[in-house]
Amino acid sequence: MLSVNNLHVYYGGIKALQGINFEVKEKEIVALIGANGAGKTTTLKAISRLVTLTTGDIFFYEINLKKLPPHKVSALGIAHVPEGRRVFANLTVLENLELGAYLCKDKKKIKTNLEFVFSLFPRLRERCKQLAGTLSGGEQQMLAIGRALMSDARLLLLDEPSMGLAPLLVQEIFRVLRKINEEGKTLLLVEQNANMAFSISHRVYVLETGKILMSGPSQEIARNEQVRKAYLGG
Amino acid sequence: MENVIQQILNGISLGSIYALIALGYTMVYGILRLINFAHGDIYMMGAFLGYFALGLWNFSFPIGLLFAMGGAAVLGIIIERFAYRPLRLAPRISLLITAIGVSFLLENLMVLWVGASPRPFPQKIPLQIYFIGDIVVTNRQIIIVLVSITLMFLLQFIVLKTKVGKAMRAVSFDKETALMMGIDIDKVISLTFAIGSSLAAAAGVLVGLYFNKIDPYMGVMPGLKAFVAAVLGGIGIIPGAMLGGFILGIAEVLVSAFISSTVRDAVAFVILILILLIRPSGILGKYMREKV
Ligand SMILES: Nc1ncnc2c1ncn2[C@@H]1O[C@H](COP(=O)(O)OP(=O)(O)O)[C@@H](O)[C@H]1O
Ligand SMILES: [Mg+2]
Repeated sequence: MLSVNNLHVYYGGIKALQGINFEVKEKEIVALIGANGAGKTTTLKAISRLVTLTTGDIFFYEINLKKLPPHKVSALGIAHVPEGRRVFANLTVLENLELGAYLCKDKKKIKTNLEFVFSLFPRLRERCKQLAGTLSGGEQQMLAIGRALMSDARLLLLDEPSMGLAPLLVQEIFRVLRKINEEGKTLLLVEQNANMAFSISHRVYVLETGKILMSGPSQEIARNEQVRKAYLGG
Repeated sequence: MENVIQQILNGISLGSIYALIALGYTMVYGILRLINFAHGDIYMMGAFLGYFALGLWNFSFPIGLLFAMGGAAVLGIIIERFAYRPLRLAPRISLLITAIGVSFLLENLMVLWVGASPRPFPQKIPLQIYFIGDIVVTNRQIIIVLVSITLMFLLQFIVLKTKVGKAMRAVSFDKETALMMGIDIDKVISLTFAIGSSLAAAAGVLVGLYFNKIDPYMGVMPGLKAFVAAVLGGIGIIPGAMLGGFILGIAEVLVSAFISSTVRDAVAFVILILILLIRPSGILGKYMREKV
């Protein structure tokens, strides 16, 4: 469904990504793990066309994303849950969710998706009319995921959904992510929390300073000596 | 006492003009973080568009008003497209200098075209004066206030209740995330300039009706004052611009009636200094803290 070929992204002189290759198949959960500054966020932003690709291609099915302006990516069925949640704090929870469905013209579908989001995160229904800026960190993360689901996307890009959350909330978020996957959505998950990433994903790519160090089924990579040392604390 | 009420009524008329102009400042600031110094000149262009529509082509007042608003909207879109958009990634100071350049360009083009001397504004609505006790109200004042308030309600409706208004608020909060939602931010920014410019044009036509005099430099002072009004209410905040406009208009009229009319232009700048000292975020402004 998604294939990234020889992707380079430079910020001026900083080489954030130096030729990475990976793919995501339909209905998979693929995790991209790596330390701070490895280039995980840059990878997701490249897919969403929020950064310029220096060289390389990104194919979503047969469409080359390289040629698209950023606001056209969402229409293809790709939704981005950005690092740090980035909810629209000046809008209500409901308005945030409605913006997730900005391109959807089918009122009935919006309603169905809204009910689906509320069934996953009942707390969002209670806080519907509240400004998103008044939500707690965990609720904002739920809102960011809910907003992405409103677009009816087939592929979700998730940038560190566990960041800064208490362990119980992390569990809750990952439970929902698994459920979303069971409903047929494909997930590309970026995490520093390698434990959680290994437990939920089917396959893993390990990113280190802009290059893919290794890849494989999650069970296998989790047993790797080098990975255990670097990411799982021995 | 009657005199105070009288002056406050006059202040409301003047204030609604400032409020209409201030709205454009605050909307553009909200979406681009740009103080659009050419905005006062859009107001002037609006007044001239009204002048041509009413005087030359003999349109009725409402049609002339709509024509001026539409023309200014197009002008606003063109200015944003060709002067500001190429500088979207440039340092903010470049944008500010460009705005000042656009301001000079508009003023001097108009001087070249119609000359610098003031012209009387075509008066389509015969003056009627009403007395309420000792208080005098003219039909033109009533029209100014009614038109302004209607436009402000319309704007609030667009911004708060429509899909495009939601997109405007999202873009002004976080452009990158707005792009993720599939919002075409260039279109939203164009629309913001169009709306802001049309409100300024409405103010220009109303001022023509009220003061019966227009010239290519008429936008300079009201532009600055409306900017102060926007800062006073809290720049980037739409109700703040309205509130700031009315406060400024009333303060100015009261000062010129009861202190001295020679210092009326100083009122705005004293208010600017005070607000920057006491409450830089403006009356309705507040700092939002980030949550973790
Ligand atoms: N806007 C930017 N300008 C310059 N350098 C950047 C920018 N964003 C990220 N970088 C650099 O690119 C590298 C990868 O960053 P990022 O993709 O955010 O990593 P991660 O998400 O894995 O922590 C880092 O060295 C970072 O400093
Ligand atoms: Mg990151």
